[in-house]
Amino acid sequence: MMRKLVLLLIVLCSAVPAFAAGNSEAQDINICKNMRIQRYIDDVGFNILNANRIDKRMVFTYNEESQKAIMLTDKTITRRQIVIYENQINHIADLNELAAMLAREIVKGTLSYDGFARGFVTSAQMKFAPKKYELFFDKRAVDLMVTAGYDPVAMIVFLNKLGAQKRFSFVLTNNTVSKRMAEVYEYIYTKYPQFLANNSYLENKYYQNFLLTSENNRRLLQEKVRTYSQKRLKYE
Amino acid sequence: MAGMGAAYSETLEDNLQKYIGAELPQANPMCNFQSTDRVPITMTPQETITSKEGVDGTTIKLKVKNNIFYRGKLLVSRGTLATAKVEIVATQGMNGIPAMIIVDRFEIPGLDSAKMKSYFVKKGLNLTYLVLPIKWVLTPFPPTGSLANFVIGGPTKISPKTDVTIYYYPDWECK
Repeated sequence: MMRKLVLLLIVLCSAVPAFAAGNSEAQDINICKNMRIQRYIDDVGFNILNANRIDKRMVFTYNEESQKAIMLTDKTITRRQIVIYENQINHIADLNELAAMLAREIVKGTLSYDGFARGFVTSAQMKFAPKKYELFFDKRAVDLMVTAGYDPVAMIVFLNKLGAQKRFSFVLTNNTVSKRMAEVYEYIYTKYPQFLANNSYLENKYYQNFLLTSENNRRLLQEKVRTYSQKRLKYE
Repeated sequence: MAGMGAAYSETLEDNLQKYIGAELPQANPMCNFQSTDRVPITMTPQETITSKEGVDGTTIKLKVKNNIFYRGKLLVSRGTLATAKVEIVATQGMNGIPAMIIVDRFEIPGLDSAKMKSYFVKKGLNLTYLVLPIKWVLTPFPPTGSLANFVIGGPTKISPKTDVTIYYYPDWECK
C-alpha cells in the first residue's frame, strides 16, 4: 500500500507542469519540487557513501530556506545530518556538482566520528580551525567523487559558483576560494589527470571563468611542474 | 609526484597530452553488504612516507605480514607484495592539530579491491587535548587564551614499522 502511495506521488510529481496555477496547486508544485530535489540528494549522497564503503551513518536533508550567514551549529558534525539549503542547490547544474557539494560534507561527517568522545574533540577542532580542514575536505571529496564515478572537475565549478572571495588567505579563519580551487586543480592534475585531459567541463562557462581568474595560480603550478619541484605552493 | 614531471613541460597542457583518450578511473561497483564475515589483512609498508615530505598520490608497496586464510582456504600468502595510494598528506597545524596521512586504494594480488574496507589513516600527536583546556582556563584573561593557538600538533609518518590493517569481505557480492 505504502509503495503504491509513493509511486502515485512520483507520478503526480512528474506531471507537475500540467497543473494550472492556483494557490493549492502552487503548494502541490512546491511539495513535488522539494520531493524531487530530496530524491536527487539522497540518491547521490548514498551512492557516494556506498561506493566509498563509508560505514558511518549520515543523512541528507533539503532545507527550503536559505542558509544563514552565521551558523552557530553545524549539523554535519553534531548530528551527522547534511543539510543542503535552497540558496546552495539553486547553483547546482548537474549531478557531478551535487556530488561535489555532498562529498565535502560527507568527509566532514565521517571525520566527526573520529577520536575521543565519539568524535567530540575532532569536531571541536574542525569548528575552531576550519581553515586547516577546508583544503582537506576539498581534496578528500575529490577522491570520494572519483570512487563513486563522478567527475571531480565539478568540484572546481561548484566552488567557483558558490564561494565568495575574501580579501586574504593569510590572516583569516578561512582560505580564499581562489586558493581552494587552485589546490583542487593541482590535486586533480596530480592524481587524476585523465579528467583534465578529457575535460567534459571545458566548454562550461563557469569552468572557463575559473581558468580566466586562476591564471596566476596556474602559472605557479606550471613552474612547479617545469622545475620538478615538490614544494607546497602558496596560492592566493 | 605521480603523474607530474615525467617529461619537460612548457605548459600544464603538455603533460596532459598523453592522457587524452585515456580511460577514466573505474568507479567502485555496488555490492551486497549483507555478509559480516571479514578477514583482517595486516601489511607493512616497504618505504617511509613522512607528513613533512610526503606527496599526495604517491604509490607505495606493502608486504602482507601473515598468511591470510578464510574458511580453511589460503587467500593471500605471507610476503605478498601489495600496492596502495597515499591519498592525502596533511601537515600539522596550529591549535595542536596533528598531521595526517591517509592511505587507500589497496591492490592485493588475488583479491577484489571492491570487497575491501581499506581506509587507513595515521595521525600525529594530537595536542588539542592540551590546547582546549588551556584556552578555556585563559578565556577570562584576554588575549592570553589566543596564545594557545600557536601550539603545533605532532608530525607523523608511515614506515616499515607501521602495521597497516585493512578488512576484506570475501562474501560481498559486487557487480
